[in-house]
Amino acid sequence: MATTIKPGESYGFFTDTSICIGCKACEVACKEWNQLEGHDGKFLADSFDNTGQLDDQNWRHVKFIDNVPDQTVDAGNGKAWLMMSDVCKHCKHASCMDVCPTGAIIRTEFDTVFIQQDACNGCRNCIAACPYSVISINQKTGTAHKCTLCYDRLQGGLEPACSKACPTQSIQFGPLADLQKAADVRLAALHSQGVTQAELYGRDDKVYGGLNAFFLLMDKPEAYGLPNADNATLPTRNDLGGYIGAFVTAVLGVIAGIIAFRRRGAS
Amino acid sequence: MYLAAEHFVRAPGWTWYILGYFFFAGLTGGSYALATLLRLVGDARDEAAARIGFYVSFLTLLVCPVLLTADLGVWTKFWHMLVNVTPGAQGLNFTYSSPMSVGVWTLFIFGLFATVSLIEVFVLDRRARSSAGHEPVRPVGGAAGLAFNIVGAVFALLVVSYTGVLLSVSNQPIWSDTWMLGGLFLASGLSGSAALMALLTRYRPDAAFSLSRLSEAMAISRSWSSSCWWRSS
Repeated sequence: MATTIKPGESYGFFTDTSICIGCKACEVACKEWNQLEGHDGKFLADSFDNTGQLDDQNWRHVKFIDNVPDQTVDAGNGKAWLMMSDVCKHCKHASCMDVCPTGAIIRTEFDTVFIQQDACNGCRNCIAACPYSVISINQKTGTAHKCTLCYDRLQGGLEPACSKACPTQSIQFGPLADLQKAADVRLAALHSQGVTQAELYGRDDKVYGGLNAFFLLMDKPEAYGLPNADNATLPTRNDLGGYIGAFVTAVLGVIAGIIAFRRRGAS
Repeated sequence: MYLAAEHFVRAPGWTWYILGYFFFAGLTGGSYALATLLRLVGDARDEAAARIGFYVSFLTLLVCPVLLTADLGVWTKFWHMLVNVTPGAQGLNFTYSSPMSVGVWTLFIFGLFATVSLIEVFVLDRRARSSAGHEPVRPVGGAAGLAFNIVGAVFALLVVSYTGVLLSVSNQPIWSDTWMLGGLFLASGLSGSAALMALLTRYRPDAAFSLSRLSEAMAISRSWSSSCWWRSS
């Protein structure tokens, strides 16, 4: 998708899992461009997924979900595994940004969520907050790392490395409005072909105000380990209640002090 | 109530420094608040125990920033908590939605109060010793001094409780399923501080008068911390 990239516009990914072939070219391209050393290779003995999880070294992670129902088997076809190239969702309402105390996490001119490495001091509050387990600490730098949506490439007018490398256009990059239109067309096409289980995740504002990196899924979000609309909760939901609970206890504590320390008649 | 089963989020990996910090934050804030209450509603004979509280508050405070800084990924950037270094947004940093940001500022401001109160009781104790007078020395400043303590105590209570709120304001299982942790931390911080101050009255004969009263305060806040625990689980 050749687009001119202009600051001030919203950009994102549309990851269409229906055409992901699990080649992991996105993971490789990401590591190459972002100079991520990766972890030592590990054989996880769990499907073809040996990446394991998104973290400081894996900013793209192709999930393999092979625990699928037998109904997907038909004449000449085996089970249809679910494959999904997972990535930071660049949430419109980002949990990590809400709790970052240093201001290191910012929303860029491309409407993406970016951790400034020179500002981050490694407090790890964002890790506790992120509902998608995207962020982790880079052991070398001591700071929080995650997908930057190739901030540097966008500034240079280039599309991100993963979408550039994706051979099936499962990962599409572009202005958010264009991606949303493309996703709607794709979903309608799948539904008309009888693939009724296909659904969009993060296309509307039901999870975290909408995701700049949204997905077309071939099953319920839960099957991919993603919080559904009911479970997509912000950490800040507990801010008010937490302080009220503390305030009520403070009042009770002062009452305790008054009861215990009050001047008694006999003194 | 259902558990948010989809939230298999990564643990932040805060180390035992933070565990230690929670403990000392409870003591520093709790003892300041109790010392203020002793002065506010207590007998003139409670002043000695109140001073124990201000000493304890300062000494346990000293450990807090050290533990917090030691836990950071890059400890030399601890001041980024207070100062925003983002190009175009430089200046002081405050994010009201982040309990960590609220807590860092609270601890900073409370530190000023605890330090001034330490100097006050230190000077008063020295003066009492040199004059060898028998009449109990009153705190300085009268109403203004008491008002200073009360404002300090408000920050003290927030120092003790924000840590619990911080754990709840996350997407971690258990922690974020309740909002009672702030209250729980506060109640247990107060009871722990009362216990420590009661213990230390042994080493300060003129504070013996307050022993039973501190024990009573400990018992009451202990029961509230139990009820917070019960309500949060």
